[in-house]
Amino acid sequence: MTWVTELIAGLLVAGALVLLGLGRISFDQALSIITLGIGLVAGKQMARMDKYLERRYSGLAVARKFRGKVSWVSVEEGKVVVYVLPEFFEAATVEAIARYASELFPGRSVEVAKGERVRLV
Amino acid sequence: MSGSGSSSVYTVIEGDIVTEKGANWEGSLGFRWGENYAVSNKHVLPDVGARVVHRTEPWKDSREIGTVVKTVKWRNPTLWDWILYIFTGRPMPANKVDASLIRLDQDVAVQKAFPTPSNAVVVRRGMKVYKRGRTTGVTTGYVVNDNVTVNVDMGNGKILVFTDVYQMSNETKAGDSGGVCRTDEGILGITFAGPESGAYGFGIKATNIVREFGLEQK
Repeated sequence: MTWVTELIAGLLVAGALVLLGLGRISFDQALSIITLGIGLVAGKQMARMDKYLERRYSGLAVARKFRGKVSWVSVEEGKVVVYVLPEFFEAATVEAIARYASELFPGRSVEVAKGERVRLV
Repeated sequence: MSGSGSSSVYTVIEGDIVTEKGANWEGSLGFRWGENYAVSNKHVLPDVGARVVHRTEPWKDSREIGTVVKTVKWRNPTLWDWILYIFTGRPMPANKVDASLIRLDQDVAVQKAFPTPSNAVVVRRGMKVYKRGRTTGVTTGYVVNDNVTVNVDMGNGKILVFTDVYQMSNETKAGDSGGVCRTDEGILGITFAGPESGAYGFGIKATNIVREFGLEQK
């Protein structure tokens, strides 16, 4: 099923060109259908990009939002662990971080653990 | 630590002590790249044009081995980043690389700390990590996580965010910064941060360093 979108898009573009060649549709109509095909593929690629960005930036979003409290965020395949500085490791903060992280990482389990202050060595 | 200069070539080893000439801190030498280059951390070698010195023991005599030719800039959010953050929620940029590039002097050779290939490898969880640094020497561990975003405390209330770094189980202490991390398949990266306990550490990926400095991947 990986190439279904591209296949449909290809059929649309080819069909539009054939119909245009046969004179059954106008240039503007053909252009609209071709744009639809291109849009399908572009939409698929954007969704992929979105997935990539989600993985790429969600950890960063959590780390930034709670920058004074979070020590580090580790993102794994099905799990996200947010390490909190010991002095902020209390129920309200843990709950707020867990809620925010769960929104950013739907479908993954979120764990909030006690971390340590990290410094350059 | 090494530093043999019996012939006309002065040999140093990845993980040896390095610093900038005249500096009052010490770090470690990272991996060599090709015959003429090596890397360490930006916070060990912050200034382009500075001479890099090698020491055989902490705070002992030093010998010049090269010059810093490139370094990264710490990334701070710009106005545009703030606008995107406010209106679209896109997180502001963070640092991926803490590294400086050293051009080695002609009479200096860098030996690998561990006999593994010289290519930068993609870091994966569970990989074995061989690390060498000024303070803890040679340590062996594994990659605990390959995708970590860490808030690094720079002191005076300043925090720098580093993203796309790896966490390793190797003991890591002050002075290990810049030290090489290798795995059986090649170079993982260089050490750059650690917690107060020193029980584990964080590293900058070699693939990101190679990309940042425009070095040719082997």
